[in-house]
Formats: sequence, C-alpha cells, structure tokens
Amino acid sequence: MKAWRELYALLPRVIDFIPRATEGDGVDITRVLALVVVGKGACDAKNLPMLEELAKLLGGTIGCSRRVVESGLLPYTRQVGQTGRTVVPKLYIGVAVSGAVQHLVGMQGADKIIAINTDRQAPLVQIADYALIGDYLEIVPRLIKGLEERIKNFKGSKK
Amino acid sequence: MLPSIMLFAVVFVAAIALFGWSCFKRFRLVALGRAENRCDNVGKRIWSMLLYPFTQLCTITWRYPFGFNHAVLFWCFIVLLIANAEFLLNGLFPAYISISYLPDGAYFTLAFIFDIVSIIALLAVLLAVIRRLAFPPANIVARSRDAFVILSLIAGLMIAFFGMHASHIAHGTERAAAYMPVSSLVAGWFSGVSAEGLVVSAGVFWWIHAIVLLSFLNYLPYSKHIHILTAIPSCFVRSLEKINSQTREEFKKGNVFGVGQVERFTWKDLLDSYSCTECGRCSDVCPATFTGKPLNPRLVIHDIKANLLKNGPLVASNREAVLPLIGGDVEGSISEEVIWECTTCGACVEVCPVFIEHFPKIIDMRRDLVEMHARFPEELLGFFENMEQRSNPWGIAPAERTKWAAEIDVKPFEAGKTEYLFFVGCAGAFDARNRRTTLALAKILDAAGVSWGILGKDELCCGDSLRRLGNEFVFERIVKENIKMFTERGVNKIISHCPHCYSTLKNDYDQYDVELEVIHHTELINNLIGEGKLNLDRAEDLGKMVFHDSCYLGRHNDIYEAPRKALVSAIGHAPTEMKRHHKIGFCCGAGGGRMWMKNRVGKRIDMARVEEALKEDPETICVCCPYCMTMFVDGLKDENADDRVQVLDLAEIVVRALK
Ligand SMILES: Cc1cc2nc3c(=O)[nH]c(=O)nc-3n(C[C@H](O)[C@H](O)[C@H](O)COP(=O)(O)OP(=O)(O)OC[C@H]3O[C@@H](n4cnc5c(N)ncnc54)[C@H](O)[C@@H]3O)c2cc1C
Ligand code: SF4
Ligand code: SF4
Repeated sequence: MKAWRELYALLPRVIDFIPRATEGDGVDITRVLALVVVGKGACDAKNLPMLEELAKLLGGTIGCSRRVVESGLLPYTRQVGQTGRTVVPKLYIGVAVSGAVQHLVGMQGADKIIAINTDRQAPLVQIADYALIGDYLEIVPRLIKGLEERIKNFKGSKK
Repeated sequence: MLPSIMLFAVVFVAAIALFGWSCFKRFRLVALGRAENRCDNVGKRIWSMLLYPFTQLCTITWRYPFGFNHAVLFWCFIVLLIANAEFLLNGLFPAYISISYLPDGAYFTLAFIFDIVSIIALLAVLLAVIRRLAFPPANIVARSRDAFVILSLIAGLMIAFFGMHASHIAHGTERAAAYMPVSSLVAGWFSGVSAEGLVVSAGVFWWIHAIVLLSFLNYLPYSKHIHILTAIPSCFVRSLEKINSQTREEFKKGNVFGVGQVERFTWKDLLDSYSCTECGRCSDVCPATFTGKPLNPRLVIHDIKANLLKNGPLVASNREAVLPLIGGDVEGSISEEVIWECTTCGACVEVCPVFIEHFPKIIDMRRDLVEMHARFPEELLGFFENMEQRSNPWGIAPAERTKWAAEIDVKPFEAGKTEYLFFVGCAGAFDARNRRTTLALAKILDAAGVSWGILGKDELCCGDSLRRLGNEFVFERIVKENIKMFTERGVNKIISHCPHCYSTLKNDYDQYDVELEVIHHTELINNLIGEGKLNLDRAEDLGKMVFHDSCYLGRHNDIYEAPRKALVSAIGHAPTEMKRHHKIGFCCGAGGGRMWMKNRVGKRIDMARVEEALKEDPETICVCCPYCMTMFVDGLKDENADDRVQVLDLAEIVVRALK
C-alpha cells in the first residue's frame, strides 16, 4: 500500500530518545512537537494506553476533542480547538476525530496532519496530509509496531 | 369623636411633603443617565400607555391564574384610587367634598361599587399571600418582606374601610347602607356596641384608614411597588421598535465607551431599574438562569438599581462612586461572569411586563470590559484576532470560502447580471455541516430561477458576534468594509440563510446609511413556494419533526410563520412544537457570541434544548440557522441520540421535496 509507505517515511526520524519526557498531567499540549488527538470514536478508557503509547513513541503527548472532555475521559487541559488550546505541533494525528470547524481552528497550523477515521467524508480526512481510512484499533497498533522498530534500530545503531 | 380637621391637615401635608421629597430623591438620580430620545411618535406612545396597563395584557397571560389576580388587583386599585382621593379630600374639606352629597342614585351606585371592589381587593390580597406562602414561584423572592408589608398595608386599608362604614351603618347614620352589602354584614358584628362606642370606632377606623393610606404612599418609593408609579410611564417610554440592534459609539479621541459606571447608562436604563416589579418572568425564560449559570436578568436589573441608589447621590454631588458597577460580588455590583453568560436571546425583553430592556444593558457593560479594559474570556482572544486579521471567526484562509461550491456552478455577484447577492456567511462557508445547507439553498434558488451570485473569497463576516460581544470598534470597521464593497459592486438585495447575518445586515447596517433589502431564506423559500416557482412533491418521510425557533429570526425579527408554512408545503403537515416555542422559544445557546465561548458553569444550553426536543420523540429536528445546527448536532451527539434523530435545515428539507 503506497499510502503506508509514504506515511512511514513521514514518521519522525529518530535522532534521540528520552523516555518519559512528556508524561504526566501537567503537560502543556501547546508546546509538544507531536500530538496524538483522541476523538469521540476512540474515547474508550480501555484503549487509551495504546494511544498514549503511540504518543510516547513519537515523543509527544495526548490531546483530545471537546466531546472526549465532555465524556470525562480526559481533562480540559487536553482539549484542542476553539474553546480549548490552539496547538501547532510538527505532527498531529487525529484518531477518530471528525474535524468539526471548532476543532480545526485549534490545529490548522500543524505542520503535518494525519487523520485516522472510518469515514472518508470526515472533514479532518479532507484537510489531512495523510488519511488512514479504517478502524483505529487496527491502524494504531501497526503504527506503534513500525515506530518501535525504528527506535530499536536507532538504539542498535548507537551501540 | 369627629376627625379633627386641623390635625389631619397637618398629617396630610407632612405625608405629602415627605412623599414628594422621597420621589425627588429617587427620580433625580434617573436624570444622571445619558440622554436618549423616547418622546418621538407621541400618539403611539400614548396608545401603549393606555393599552398595556389598562388591559393588563402582560399579566393575565402569565402563570394562570395568579396573573389574573394581578389584573384584578390593578383594577381594584384604579377604582379605589378614586375612593381614596375622595376619602382624603373629605378629610380635609368635610363641608364641601363627599360622595354622600351626590344625588341618591349616583351616591348609592358609588357606595355599592366601592364596597364590592374593596372586598374583591381584600380577597385578591389574601390569594396573593396564600400563593406566596403555599406555592412560591421559582426565580423571585416571593416571600420578601417588601411584598408582605405592601400586602398587609392594602389589607389593613380594606379592613379599616369596612370597620369605618360598618360603624356608621350600625349607628344608623349611613343612608346608603342597603347598597353596601359587605359593610352591612360587618355592621352585624357591631350590634352589641353602644351608640357612643360606634362613634368612637368610626373615628378610630377613620384614622387607621388615613394613616395606613399615607404610610402606603410613603412606603412606595422605597419598595419594588415603586412600579405602581413607574409602570405606566414605562409603557410610554418603551422602545417602539424591536430591540434587535445596539446603538453606535462615537470613536473619537478621549471618548469613553460602553457602561462602566452606573451614570453611563441612559436615563431610560436607570428608570428601568426602578420599574422592575420583581415578577421574575425574565429569569423564568432566561436560558442562562435555566441552566444554572450565574446570570439572572432580574438580578442584573436589581443590581443596577442598588448601584444607582448607592453611587447616585455621590455622583450627583460630584463625589467618587464607592461601589463598582462591574466586578464585585456584592449587591449592586455585577460580576464579569454574569455579563459574559448572556446569549442576547431576547426572551427577557419579550416577557417583561414593564418593557425593561435587559440585554442591551449587558452588551453596554461588555463594551466597557472589551473596549476600555480589554477584559474578556480567554477564548475570545483568538476569535477577536481572527476577525481582525481574516474577517472570519476561525481565521481560515479566505480562499476556502468557495469550497462548498466545488460540485456546482456558481456565478460571482455582478450588478446588472445577478439580482441577489447570496451572502453565504462564515458558518455557511467554512463549517462542513453547514455547507450542506448552503448547497441546498443554492439548488433551491436555481430551481426557482432566482438570479444570484456570491462574493466568494472577498466575502467578510457580517460582524454579528463582534457587536454582541461589545467589540464595537472592530465591528464598525468590518461594517464599513462590507458597505464599501456592497456599494462598489452594486449590491442592494441580499439573501442569507443565517439569522445572525440576516438580522445584522438588516437592522444593524441600517444605522450606516445604506439601503439593503435583506431576506432570510425561510421567507424567500416560502415566497417562492407561494408564487408557484418551486415545484414540490412531498419530501421523503422524515418521521416526526419538531421545529426550533431561532432567536434572531423569531424574537428579534418576528419571523415565525414563514418557515412553518414552507415546512407544511414540503412535508405535508405542520411540525410538532416543543414546550417552548414562538415568542418564548428557548435559545440554542450560541447567540450573543456564546458560539465562541466555552460553557463554564451549569448545564450546556444546547443540551437543555436538545433534551426538550427529545421529549417530543422526534426523528428530525428542523432548524433555520447554522448556529442552531451546530448546537443541535453537538447536543444530540452528547445526549447519545444522534443515531436516532437527525437535524436538518429548512433548505435541506425543501430541496428533498423538489421534483
Ligand atoms: C461553542 C463550541 C465550542 C466548541 N469547542 C470545541 C473545541 O475547542 N474543541 C473541539 O474538539 N470541539 C469543540 N466543539 C465541538 C465540535 O463542534 C465537535 O462536536 C467535536 O469537535 C467533535 O468531536 P469528535 O470529532 O471527537 O467527535 P465526533 O464528531 O463524534 O467524531 C467521531 C469520529 O470518529 C470516527 N470514528 C468512529 N469510530 C471510529 C473507529 N473505530 N475508528 C476510526 N474512526 C472512528 C467517526 O467517523 C467520526 O468522524 C465546540 C462546539 C461548540 C458548539
Ligand atoms: S437575552 Fe436571553 S440570555 Fe440574555 S439575559 Fe435575556 S433571557 Fe437571559
Ligand atoms: S425585569 Fe421585567 S420581567 Fe424581570 S423581574 Fe423585573 S419586571 Fe419582571
């Protein structure tokens, strides 16, 4: 699949790896370089650790849409958008985020936008640089695996 | 013991003087306000002064049957005003003035009327007391000391009235006795009393009556019942037009903007604060109060009054005010949180029986916060910046304004070639969901053969939210830019599917010497159907449908029926109404710039409205406003009802019915 290869090329090249740099609740989502944004379609406590893992591997952290804040899964400090934070990361990955204009206004300045969504028509998919159409539960583990390999290779090359 | 005329004359003059002084002290403060002309169109004003108070139109329709009780009390009051004037004059000039000097027929009639009206008034007062004790309505201080003092004074007056007349009847000195059934009944209780005793009791009741009456008069200016004095004039100075736009500011160096101190209000605003009857209707209908937010329009008016009473005398004698109008959390000061909660839905103004104008005062205070102190909720910073830099709320690139038209052929507006400007609006252009409404309307216009064009990437925001949020400076800039463009391009007829654009272009732009004919798509569609220009079949079955009134369409512009009629043509039957509809339709929560702010306290207004809609068990909710659309879509999702209920704009429903 071409898109996968391109996407893979897009994922950050590892130049250093500092574990736990961006964990904890006090994180300022406006300052991180990579943001994995949880949308209502992925608003599920059971799968949140997986998304956190993805964010960690990217050297970034978790953000979310308003609906996720309203549902109580994540705190308001994580909300991206018109009434949340305006973010400008190098990489924005919207996981099951539809991309309402109230959300887009808070992240349209991101360098690269990746949308993971089952719905091709979702507005975020329309504006994204890369869109992965499908269930995030299948897509995210593959991304994680790809990244882990890179990090392993990187660590291996440093030894 | 006959009432001593001299003694009474002294008491009377003292009481009247005191009353005059109290009124002067209160009303001189109103004169501190800024000037405003409320004396144009005198004929119409006199008419409303007669119509509203004397028919009690505003009270009988509210909280049945208690509103009716107020109408009864009002009318008793008018009748007893005559009776009491006679009583006082008779006390001063007993030899010259008394209804008993009238011929029998007239005297007996009056005696009968006063007797009956007094008992009705007494019963009405009892009912009012029982209501306050047994079923106090929400949102008002039903059991206030003020209310009980006034009600006891009125009751005391009535009791003294009967005591006095009953004494005369028992004594056999009342020739109208046969025409005073209630007094005669009471006279029965006096049967054992000696003749001297009856003379004494008549005198005692006379003095009680006199003292209570004069106390009532002197209590008035200090209580909420001051509305007895101000309500009728309030109907005279009311706004004769719909309150759907705000006044302009003059942007000159050294000018102060908005209202940051109480004397910056106009005299009408200050008079409003005195006129409030504390009936609580405004709070009953306010979406902010309803959802547990700190804003309560009745209290805003009350705080303005309290502030005026505290600061007014100081300001009048050129001293410093001591109580801030904005920012404190004590009585007489309005907190910033309160000021930002208002959606400018206009429900408060709609229901106020004495025509108080609440939300314009709130906008005036926002102007002070924004233009004098740059203080506003943090989310608005981005909004204001986007408006200044890109003339749209989200700061999206103007080139994206035409994205909605990707799949159809759209002409630019050109004077002579196109008749109407289709003013798409920011939501209609940038919001993915609302773009579908834009597209539907474009298809309808084409189907009906309407000649239209767009401004495309050159279109700017109309500025509605800026004005309601008190950012008059940027608003004025945008208005001028828009008007310049309209003039250059020869635009004078505009179609809009957003009630905010519609109302702003129609009512606010009117203050800038520009002739625009603005039509909302609901009216246009309804007209086109009426003219037979739209060939409609029945739309596919959309299931049970409820209709939501947009505040800026209904309350602010009186458009209630056009969308409903168009719906009947498109779906074959009238939509279901929610509990609150038409004039008291409940706001979706997005007006007044609330669209750009987050919900801080209490329930989200959109969720409250969605819950109300869901009570009707609809499958489709019909809206006529892009903001309402967003609110309902989001509200339904967060109520987890989006899988069984859809939201459609009127245009989307009509387009489905096109043959
Ligand atoms: C005044 C106001 C202010 C607002 N402020 C903000 C704000 O600051 N920030 C904000 O985000 N929103 C804001 N909103 C809300 C905004 O309008 C949207 O409702 C919200 O952004 C939608 O969140 P979402 O994309 O997570 O949810 P949804 O719109 O419900 O989207 C869920 C998406 O997930 C997809 N999906 C579902 N399951 C899967 C799956 N298994 N795998 C992959 N994809 C899946 C669906 O296709 C859908 O596109 C505001 C709204 C208003 C009215
Ligand atoms: S305009 Fe609406 S929100 Fe504002 S005070 Fe009046 S009723 Fe409340
Ligand atoms: S402002 Fe008007 S509606 Fe509100 S309490 Fe006062 S009189 Fe009643």
